[in-house]
Amino acid sequence: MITLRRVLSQVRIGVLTPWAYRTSTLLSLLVLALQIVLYSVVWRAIYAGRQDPVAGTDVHTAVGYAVLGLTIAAALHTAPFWSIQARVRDGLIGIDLTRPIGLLTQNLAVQTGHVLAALPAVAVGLGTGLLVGGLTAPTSAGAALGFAVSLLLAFGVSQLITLLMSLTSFWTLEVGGIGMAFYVVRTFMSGAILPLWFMPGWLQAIAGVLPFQAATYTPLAVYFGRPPGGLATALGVQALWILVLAGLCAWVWSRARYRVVVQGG
Amino acid sequence: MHVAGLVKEFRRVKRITGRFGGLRTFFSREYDVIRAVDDVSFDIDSGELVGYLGPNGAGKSTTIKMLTGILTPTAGTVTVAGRDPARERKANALNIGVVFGQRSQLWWDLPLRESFRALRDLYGVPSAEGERRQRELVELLDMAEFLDTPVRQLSLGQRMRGDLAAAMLHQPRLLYLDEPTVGLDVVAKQRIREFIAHINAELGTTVILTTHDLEDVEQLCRRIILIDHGRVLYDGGLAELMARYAPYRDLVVTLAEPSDVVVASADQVKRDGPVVTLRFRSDQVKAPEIISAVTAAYPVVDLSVVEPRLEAVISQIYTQRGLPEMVAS
Repeated sequence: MITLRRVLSQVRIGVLTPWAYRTSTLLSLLVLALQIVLYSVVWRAIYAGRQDPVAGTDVHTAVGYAVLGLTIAAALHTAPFWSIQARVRDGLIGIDLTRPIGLLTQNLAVQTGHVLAALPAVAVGLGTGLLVGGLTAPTSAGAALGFAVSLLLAFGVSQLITLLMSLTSFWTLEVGGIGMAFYVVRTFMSGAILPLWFMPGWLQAIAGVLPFQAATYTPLAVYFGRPPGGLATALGVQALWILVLAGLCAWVWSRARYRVVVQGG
Repeated sequence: MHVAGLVKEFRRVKRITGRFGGLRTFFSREYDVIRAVDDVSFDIDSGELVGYLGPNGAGKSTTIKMLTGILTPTAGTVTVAGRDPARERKANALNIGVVFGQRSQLWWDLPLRESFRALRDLYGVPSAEGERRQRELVELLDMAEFLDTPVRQLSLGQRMRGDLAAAMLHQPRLLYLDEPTVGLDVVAKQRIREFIAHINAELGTTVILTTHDLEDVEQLCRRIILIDHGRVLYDGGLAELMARYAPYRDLVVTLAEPSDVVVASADQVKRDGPVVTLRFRSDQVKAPEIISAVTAAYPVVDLSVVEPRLEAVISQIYTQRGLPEMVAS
């Protein structure tokens, strides 16, 4: 009970913090709506005058994918530079170690709060999608159910990616531009904007061995009836990534903790 | 709390200068070992209010970090309320409160009230009890008017009060205060001191106070532990320290016309025009005797007896003990 209360207190902090910067958060919602409008316009321009699908995708699917992909990314792709990195930079990580809660638990709870705080993005994303006529129903009831499960797993993968990235700041604090690079790679390789099936084979292969696709592309592919390797495999790969990333986080944190605790930072 | 033979060494990669120095440093496996805390031992009883003092870089913060479980000792043992803080970090966390004057444990972007709420939940304080304690602390530290202000907009004095309250919400048995008055104005400092004295007296909270403001120490601490270069120089009562290192008082007299003063059992230590400072051993001679001796022999316009300042004593100790070591290294 007390443990749950501890975790929830940090989820609450995570929900409230982004909304302390109301203008910036509202602006990000506006940017999301704008992106959705632009992508739907561009896809329709690309498909204008051609009847045959590209890579098995017609214009409705392409636009529908963009709407959902951007929306999911806006909610799930939490920024890794809010918590641990800022706290390492300001020397506050020591204070975190005097709390009766583990650092990883605390940060996952705060990130979960960030995701909840970003739920208005889902309403904005889907609302804009409706306005531009870009909402597509899932291909079947099974696809809808698979999508729900896959989305839940994608939440886990995405939060662990964010956590792992923020843990690296114990070493990469001085490396400039790494956050920007991470943002670009994550957005592209997760298939948030472009479905991986549009990419050439070698690029798909690279995306396939990275965890990012399991955080966004997999649920979308399930939704549109094209789960990579079949539904069971697609979900299994996501679950596997959760295990691998959780293990990596625990390992990196034990190294970082050694650095802080034994070497004094 | 029991501390025995505490040692903390840090390894720093040796800087290589010269051609490709930066790159060679990066791949270097050579280290300098710095001993920040060197064989420190002391016991602190429940309910004590101890000043842990030392110049910058003496090893104070490193010790506090080991006592709070943030750092693991290289050698030696720490036991806080029967627990090893580094090994049982989370369990120890429930017993202690920590305030770092230079840093804040409050959530920067959120109203102060939210930090208090989060901390009550984190430390599992029952809700009715937690609200009662919060009300008390808000009243005691006069925080009602800025309870709904985001922490980043608070003044340093307000923020410090918030931090103190945050550390006391779960009523820890032990409170570590690392420079709690740093950068504060006189009134704000006084308020913080009164609060520290209050919780120590009323709740019996053990307080370990690190500070460079010796007025904090003079007003609050009965016992001080003095360290330098990672070693304990003095551990004992404040009064005993003063008696040992400053067993004298100064008599400052202003004469009608400038002159040196020569009286028995007092030495002239300073003369600034007509103002002469005489130093006498307060354990050997009474102030009235010196005063009557001076007034009998010299035309005195004004006089005052000055108690030795802790500051003078401490700086005397630092310079005496510090110099030989500096020569050696």
